[in-house]
Parts: sequence; structure tokens; C-alpha cells
Amino acid sequence: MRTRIPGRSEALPTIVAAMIMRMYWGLSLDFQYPLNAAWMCPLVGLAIYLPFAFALRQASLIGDSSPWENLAARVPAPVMGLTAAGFAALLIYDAAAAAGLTAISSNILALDDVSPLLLLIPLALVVFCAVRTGACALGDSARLWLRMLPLFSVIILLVQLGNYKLGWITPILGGGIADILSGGIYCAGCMALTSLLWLLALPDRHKGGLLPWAALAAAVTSAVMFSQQMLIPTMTRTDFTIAARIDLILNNGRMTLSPQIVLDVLWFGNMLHLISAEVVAAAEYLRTILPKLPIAPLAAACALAVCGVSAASGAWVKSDPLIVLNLFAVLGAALALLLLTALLGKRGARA
Amino acid sequence: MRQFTEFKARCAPGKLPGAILSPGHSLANYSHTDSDNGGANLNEKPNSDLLRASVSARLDESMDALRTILNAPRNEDAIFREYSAGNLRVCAVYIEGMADETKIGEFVLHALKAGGGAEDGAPPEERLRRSMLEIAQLSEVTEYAEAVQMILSGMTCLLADGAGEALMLETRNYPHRGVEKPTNELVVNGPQEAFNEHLRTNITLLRRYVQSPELICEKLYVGTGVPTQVALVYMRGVASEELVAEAKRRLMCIQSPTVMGAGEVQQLIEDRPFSLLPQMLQTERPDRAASCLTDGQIAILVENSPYALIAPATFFHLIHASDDSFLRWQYASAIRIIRVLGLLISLMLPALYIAMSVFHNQLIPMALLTSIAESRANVPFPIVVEVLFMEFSFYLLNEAGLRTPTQIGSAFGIVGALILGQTAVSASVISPILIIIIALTGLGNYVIPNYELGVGLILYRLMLIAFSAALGLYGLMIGMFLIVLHLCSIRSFGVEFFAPMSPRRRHNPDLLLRLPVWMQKRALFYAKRDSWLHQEARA
Amino acid sequence: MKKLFAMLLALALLSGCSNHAQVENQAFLLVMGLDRAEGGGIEMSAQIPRISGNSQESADGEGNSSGYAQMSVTGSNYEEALERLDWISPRDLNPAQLKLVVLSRDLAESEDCPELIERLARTERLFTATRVVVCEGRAKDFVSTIRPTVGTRLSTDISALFEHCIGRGFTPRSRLADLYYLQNSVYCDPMVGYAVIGPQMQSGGEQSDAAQPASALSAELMELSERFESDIPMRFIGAALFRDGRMCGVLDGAQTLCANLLQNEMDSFYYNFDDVSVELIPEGSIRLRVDADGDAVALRVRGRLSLAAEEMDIDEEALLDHLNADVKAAIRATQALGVDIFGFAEAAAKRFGTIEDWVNYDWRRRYPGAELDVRLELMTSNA
Repeated sequence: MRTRIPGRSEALPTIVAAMIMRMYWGLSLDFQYPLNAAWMCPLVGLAIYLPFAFALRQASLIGDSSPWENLAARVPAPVMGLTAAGFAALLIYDAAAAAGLTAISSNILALDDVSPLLLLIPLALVVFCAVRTGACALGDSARLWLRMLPLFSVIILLVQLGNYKLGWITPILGGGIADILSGGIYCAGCMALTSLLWLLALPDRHKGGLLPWAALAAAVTSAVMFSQQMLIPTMTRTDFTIAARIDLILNNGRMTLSPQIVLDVLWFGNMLHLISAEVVAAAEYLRTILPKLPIAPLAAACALAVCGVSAASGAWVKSDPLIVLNLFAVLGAALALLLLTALLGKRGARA
Repeated sequence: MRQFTEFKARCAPGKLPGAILSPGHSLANYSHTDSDNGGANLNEKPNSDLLRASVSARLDESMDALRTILNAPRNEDAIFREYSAGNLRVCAVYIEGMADETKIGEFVLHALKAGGGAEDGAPPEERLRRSMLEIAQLSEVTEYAEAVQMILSGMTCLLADGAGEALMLETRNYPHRGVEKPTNELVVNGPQEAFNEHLRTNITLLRRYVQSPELICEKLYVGTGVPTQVALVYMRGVASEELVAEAKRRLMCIQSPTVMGAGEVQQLIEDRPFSLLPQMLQTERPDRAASCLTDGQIAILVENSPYALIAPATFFHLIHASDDSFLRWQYASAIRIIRVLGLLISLMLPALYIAMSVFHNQLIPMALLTSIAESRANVPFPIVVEVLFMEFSFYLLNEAGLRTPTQIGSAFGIVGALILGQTAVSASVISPILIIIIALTGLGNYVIPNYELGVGLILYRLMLIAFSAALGLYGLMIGMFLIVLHLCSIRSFGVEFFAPMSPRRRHNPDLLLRLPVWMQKRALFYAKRDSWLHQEARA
Repeated sequence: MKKLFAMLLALALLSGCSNHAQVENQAFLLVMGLDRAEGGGIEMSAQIPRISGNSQESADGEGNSSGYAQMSVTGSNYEEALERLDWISPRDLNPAQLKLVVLSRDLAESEDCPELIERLARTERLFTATRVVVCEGRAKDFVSTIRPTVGTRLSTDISALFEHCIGRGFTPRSRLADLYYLQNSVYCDPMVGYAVIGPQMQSGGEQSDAAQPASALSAELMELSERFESDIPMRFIGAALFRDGRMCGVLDGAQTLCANLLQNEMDSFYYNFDDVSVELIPEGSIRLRVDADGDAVALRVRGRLSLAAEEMDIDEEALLDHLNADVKAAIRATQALGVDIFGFAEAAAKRFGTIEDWVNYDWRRRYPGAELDVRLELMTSNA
């Protein structure tokens, strides 16, 4: 069976890997207002994410199946359908942003004579295969990847040890408390978006919830941002292009050149897992609306959607801060509404 | 364990046991449309009506029937030896060369003569069985189909006038290879026995290693046209019942007219035949098979195949070697790590070389880059063509070395060194650095203990070469991601390919590092949880 | 569906083909020199290694068929010069292995320098790990004197030489990344290595018309060469200081040593005291602190060093005074130029909450007038 609903133990590594990467590239490239205090944003975001995590937990407690199924038993089908469509659209949009970024970064690293738009085509292949293979296989792949991450990260950290400057963390509040809070909301939005797969996950041998692992993802992202900040001094210029910003991260001249290959492997590996995780989640939400849709056309449609959205934006989907800042609010509101409806006991026809 | 829903493509709907011959089933089932078969039409076999018939009490009729079925006298191997013991007329039917004629002479004919004559009113077959025959094993059959199958396997069929049954006597003795040393799974420290083509011998080897009454050996026949005997071996109470039932179901679902060896059985029953990597472990070592049985796996032995098929098999089974358990744990662990590194080198080194020298040359120190450039200055081909040429030459040598008669096999060492070494470099067809790359790749391939895994990796390697030649490190990462994603999606009898690492399952500290044997007490995740054989680690 | 999949796969794999460049078909830029051209514009000179077909030959030394090709072009700006260099080079130019960028002092002090550094850092495939030095005189002349000195390849020679000089303390790390990032950062200012052509290697007829500090460096270099009785010119000595992307001054070798010491770049170093070289080992980090009371700012330096001198009879107090005085002199020299290269800015920034507050504090205005309090202590230990 190609696309199966994942169990929680399979959804978990997918979500953790996606969370870490989404927050990391968001803070490094997209939302840079906190400046050198960006390392605090994942931790602040975790605090802001708590209500969302609580809502997820409540949704899983009101029935024996996945949170989505539990809600579907109590909420009118059209509402569920609209919500699923909204979630799928958001996930496709975010995956398109990640795909565009991956294409641009490969353009910068080696393929500078190739248009980033053409470099989206291999990602269409990845999306197609990920949806066809399914969330369970993706979860196993993500679990393997997460096992390798510490090894790669330690190699890079140790090799760069002599290049860190702790003084560049100060002033400690960076862009200011307001910007840190905004960054926290951004991170909470990233965490909420990437944890949408949890809504669909069936209960299995994993007994715990998502929150401890979300906390781990936030801590890891925070640590990575902290170490990165010690390598890149705070710059207040606002005219850096995306290529320049990617260059700072991946081709940082203060770093020893030899572990750059490890950095590139980490970057591409994480991006591929992030894109796959979001697209697979979108595909699963679409299947809740159209359960009879065959997998192959769905996979092709997702691949076209991701690459189409990315290409239409010139391969760089710049997140509008207004949208992003409100992303958490949008997702949180949607989930809260569903939960409220469910708890109030409204029943509707199942899809 | 996952449900076994992957395996459905090669099984006819209705899931007839279309190729089984076990007590209660007849050979005649192969040859007609059966409602249990979901409407599938089987080809009519010759003499199918006769095959379905019961053994006649009249000796002449039975003999005629068997002559017809066995195509005697045209088929000169089929021997019909009539004999009279007192007033009892009997006929021994056997295949020359398959049955031991000495046994027939001494323990059947001579015994009949010695014990003939006494009549106590019992049916002839009863008299023969109880007091006249001196053979160790015998059984009764009532249908010609069963009798013929057993005659063809080397047993002797004794027909008696007045008996409504045929007696099948164990007289099998045909030439076969003895128990020899393993050829593909060599170890330094450990047993030096290997399976051979004789099913009985292979089962006996397993019984020697696992001397337990819970070792169960169920025999089946597969092949709707020409049946081949297969033994399903497992440990009751250790292997899970679902696994055993699933293995039986898959064997029963084989619809192929002929099944000529373990390799074909594997292809017919594995979950993903189109996957490049195997989902069952083939081993020629009885000690390895026995170890797998005690872990809760099942073994399938096939007549005329010197291998056992073990299932379920994960990636870790494929990279473990037999002597890992025989060595001290530190060395075994180090060897395993080297093996995994060899596997990664074999898979990725040529692709990485292409990616770095063509797309990411800033990652190569300038001194080395200059050496590469200088060595390639006179080579007319791009790096990719060079790599593919060397890979192809290597495979050619490999394959030629396998097929060449031993007498001239040693010449290949010289040919290989000449072609792949000095001459190609001197002629500037390839660069010297590539020799090192390909040599390391080949060595990495040969440290993989499982042949099928090694062959599968060759094909994955070609795929990665294509990806990295086109897109550099980006392409290489995409290729690796797709490979890992695919491998994570395949199952072996419901078990995930990278289990117990991903997904996380109950296991002993014996995946990449092999910790001491005395620390490995837990039953593995695919075994019965409360297995009598293992001490469970209590939480 | 399968045909669509196959097409997608083919498209996916072919999309990168246009970037396929064989390693032997590329000209790797190893050293680049940049001068102000007469009449404006940029003069760019470069060394690329010659790749022979015989891998037995090394790429070094005179008289071998391999070696390094020297090229020089002029363009109206940096990009045009680079493009022209690509035209005249025998292969596609690849700056991925660039080891050293040499800026002439003239160019480094000009108003074109900030934009030039920006464009250097933005050059495709040019990695900011490359070293940057400012040279006395013409960069073209300096580039033409660069040869491997101990029979190794030029690429490794440059890296090894830099590490050697950094280890001795006479030159800073000098990466383009340090120059570019610090130039744009809110913290301290960058410094890069300064290069002089040794007296044995000066190009004939063209005397440097630079101001006094350059001559002092040449004199210092000559003195070191004489002291060590060496023919090999020690090229990298001293540091060029940058502010807002333009060079504004030079530190000599001894001052650069103090700068490296305060930046905790030294594991041990030889300090010239009383015509004797004594080995000093920093014990732990040298701590920089900034105390501010209103507009009054005090810069404090604290640290401990140990003396590894068992057989010499050293006046430790005099040594300490000398060292403290040298460190003060180095700091004062940078204060005079209004350039903080030591890292006092990071120490000062700790006192603020946000970047905005820090930027508003205007450290650059306060640094030159800050008081100095340098107290390095000496501990005696056996080597």
C-alpha cells in the first residue's frame, strides 16, 4: 500500500526533522529582524506553541483514532473539508518556498550557470516519489536521518571551535524584545505548520505526545543559531540578497573549508526531508477530502503544485512578514475552532 | 509486525493452494479448474483422470495404470519388478538410479521371500507392512498421483494383488554432492560446512545444529507442472505463528509451472520483486541458518538448491557475516564498522569523485586538484565517461572470472592488471587516480558478505553516478534520498527493511556494534514475544 | 504515467548539464593582484598554474615545463577586469581555489576600496576564505615575486607561509571573510596582513613613495632578515587597518604581535626584549574590559603570561614593563587612527541590551579618547 496514514512513531521523526529545518532557514534567511538574538526565538516560539500543542493533545484525547478522525466525527464535514483544503494549501505554499530555496542554494553552491527554475525539476521528482512512497517510509527515512545528524553536527562544531567569537552574541537582546517576540511567533508558526501531520497520525506504540520532541527541536535549532551567530558578526544591512545570505551560511569564509561538504550534505538532506514532509502532509489532507483519488495523479499534482508555485515566484518565495507572523494565528485559530466545535459536541456527516 | 498486505500481485485471487502436495491434496488438483481457485484455469496434465483415480486392488490394473502414467516401457528408467512371495503377487515399481536397488533386493524382495507364505487372514498390505517387509520407513497411499510423485522422488512403490493401497518404501539413494566447504561465505573462525543440493541432507544439517523437538520441518511441493519439494523450517514457539502462516500462504500461492531453485522461490514470494535489494537472506551455511531459526526467523529449503532462504531479512541481516558471532566482540564490532564504511564507499565514492572534481572543486586541496588535472590532461574523455568505462571493465572482469573454467581463470589476474592497470593509463585512456577510486570501490563491494546486496549496490551506484554527473552534490543527495526512501518503503514479510533501527523495535545490541553474546538475551521483534527460548529483559 | 515519469527524470538529470566543466579545462586562479590603473580603473594581475600532461613534473620552480602563468589586464572596474582576464586566459577562469588577493596600498586607501571589497566578496565561486593582504608598492610586482619557496606547490606554500607568519604573530589572519564581515558589522574594525617586498626582491627603479610607516616596515623586515641571516624575504609583516572599507593605517610587526595577543590568537610567541628573544606563553585568555562612566571610557586589559626561560637571566619586571608599554603603544596607535581592531567593541557591547542602543552609543567616537589600563602579569615556569 503506497500512501498509508502514519502512526505517531512514524510521524514524529518527520515532524522533528521538518521543524528544525523550517525554523533554521526561516531565522537565517527569511526573518532576520531579531539579528544576533535569533537563537532565542525558537525557545520563545516553543512557549507560544504550547497552546497549539495542548489543542493537538486534546484532539487526540477525545477519541481512539487520529486527532483528525476524532474531530471529523464531531464536526460537520464541510468544515473539515475546508480546513483540510486550507491546511493543504498552506503546506504546499511552504513546501514551494523550501523548494525554491533549495534550488537557489544549489545554484549558488555549484550550478551557477543553470537557472534555479530548472533546478526545481529534480525536486518535482523528489516530491512525486515522496508522495507515492508514503508517510510511513518518510518517517523511517527521517528517523535514520535524525540519527546521523548529531554525528555531522559534532564534526562541524568541533572543526570550527577555534573560529567562534562569543562576543558576537552581545548585545544579548539583538534587534529588541519586540523583534524577538515576532521571531518567536514566526517559529511558533513554523512549528505549528510542520506538526500538522500529527493531526493525521494514528495512535501506536508511541505513548508520549509531540511536545517533548517539539521542545527538543526548538533546543537544537536554538543551539545551531547560537553557534552560527558566533561565526557571523551582526550586520544591520538590509540590502543583502538571498544569494548573499545563503553564501554567509554555507560558504562562510571564517569557517574551515574542509567540512563544507558536511555542511552541504546537512543542508540538502534537511531541505529534502522538509519538502517531503510538508508535501506528504498536504497529500494526506487532500486524501481526507478525496479518499478515492489514486496515488499517482495525486503525487503528480503535488509535484506540479510545488514547483509551479515556486517557479511563479521566481524560485524565491519571500515570506511576507505579515503572513508569516500571522501564520501561527491562522493555524491556531483553525485548530481551536475545530476543537471547540468538537468539544461542544456538534455532529456532522462524515466525509 | 505490519500486515502482510504487500504480497498480492503474484497470487491468483481466491488464493488456491495451487501447487501444494501435502497429505489431503492430490496431484490432480494441478490440472483442472477448481472453484477454490477463483476460476483460474490450469492446463490439463496428461493422464489427469488416471492420476486422480484410486489404486486398484487388482495388481494387473494397477501396473497398467502406473505404466501408462510413467510412460513405460518407452521410459526405460521406470522399472516394474514383479515378484511372488508364496501366493502373494507383488510388483515393485521404482525409477532406476533414484532408488537403491540393493535395498530393494535385500530388504524387500529377499524379505518377502523369507516371510512369504504365512496367511493369517489379514489384508495383503497389512501382512506386508507388519511382518514381511524389513524396510525402515514405509507409508500407504491410495491415489496414483501421490504414488507417482513418491516414485519420482526415489521411493519404491509396492503393489500387491488384492491390496487397495500401495505401499511406499523409503529406498531413496541417488548420487549427490557431499557436504563441502562453503564457497561464498568463507569464515576464518567457524564451521566449514555448507548446504548441498540434497534436501534431506540440508534438513539433517539443520537438525544437527538445532537439536530440539520444537524444530518443525513442514514439506510442501511447489510448481504446478513439475513439482519441486520445499521444506519450511521453523522453531515452534519462537517464530511467530503469523509469520509461519504467511510463509505457507505465499508458498501455496505460487502458480508457476516449474520452480527450479531457491532463487526462483525467492522471486516468487518476496514482497517487492522489482526492488534492487533482496528481501530474503540466502545463505549456504547451516550454522547461519540455525542461528536465524533460533532468532525466530523461518528457513525455506528447496530441493536441488544449496541455499536456505531466510525470512524476514532486514538490511542488518544482509551486512552481518557468519563469523561476527565467533569473534571477540571488539574485533567483530570493528569489522562491522569497516564493512559499513566499505558499503558506503562502494555506493558513493565514484559519484562523490565526479561531483567534487566537476562541480565542487573548491573542496579538493589545490595540490590534489593539480594532480588530478595533470593526470587527466591527456585523457580524451570526460570524467563521467572514464568512470563508466572503468566500472564496465570491472564488471566485465568480474563476470568473466565467474564464467571462465578454472584452468584459465588465473590468466584473468594478468589480463585485469594489464587492461585496467598500466596499459590503460599509459595509453591515456584513463587517469591513474581513477584506478584508485575504482579499486577502492571494488574492495568496498567485496567486503559486503551478501552477494545479492553487493549486486544491488552496483546498480544503485550507477544511478548515483548519473545523478552526480548531472547535478553534483545536489544530485547525489537527491539520489541518496530517493534510495533511502525506497528502501524504507520495502518490507520483508511485513518487517521494515531498516528495522529495528528505523522504525525502532525491540532488539539486542547487535546491529552495527556487536556487544558480547551474554548481553544479547532479548527475543527479537519478529519473534514471539514470550518465546520460551529467550530470557526477556524485564523492564 | 510512466512516460511522464521518464520524461521528468530525464529533464531532472539534464538540467545541470550546462555546468559541466572538466577540471583540466579550467584555469584556477591562485593569486590575484589589484592595482589602480593609470587613468583610473583597475589593473588585475593573476597567477594560474600551468597543467602539464606529465604528472611526474611538479608545478614549481624555474625552468620546468610546468609553472605558473602570469597575466595582467586593465579594466574600467573590477568586473570588467575579471571578464577580460577570463578572455585572455587559456581556459575558463575558476576563482574557487584563489589563495591570495593582493591589494596595492594605493588602491586600499582609495575611495573605490569599499565597493571593490563588496564586489570581491560577491564574485561567483570566489570563497571568502581566501587571504587578503595589502602590499607596499604595486600589487603586480608583488604577485610576480611570489614563488614556492621550499619546493612545494604554490597553493600549499601560501597557506603554509601564512600559518607560519600568523604563528609568529607578525601578521593577522587576513581572510576576506574577516575583512568583509567586520567591515559591515556593528563591532570592531578589520585588519589584514601587510606585505612588503624584501630588499632583495624589490623591483628595480621604482621606489615606494609611501609614507614613513611603510619604510619602517621594510626596515623592520631587513632587520629581521639580518638578525636571522636569512636570504628568504619574509613577505608578510604588519597589518593594514581598515575603517569603513578603506585602509587608514598600518601597524608594524611588533604592534601586530600585540594585536594578535589581545585577540587570543597566540598560543606562544617570541618577544624581542633587550636584543634577546624570549618565549612567552599566555596562560588562559587575555581579557578585555570596557568601563564607562558617562562619557568617560576606560579600556582595561588583563592577562597572564608565563616565561619559558630557564637558562636566561631575565629582568622580569623590566620585561613586563616593556610588554605592557608595547601593548599600550599598539592600542594608542589604533586609537589615533580611530580603529578598534582588538575587540574592545564586543566587550563594550555587553553593557547594552539591543543592537540599536549599541549603535546609538557610537563607539567609534568614544574609542579614540578612552583611557588605557593595561596590566599583564608574568608567571615564571620551566619550559
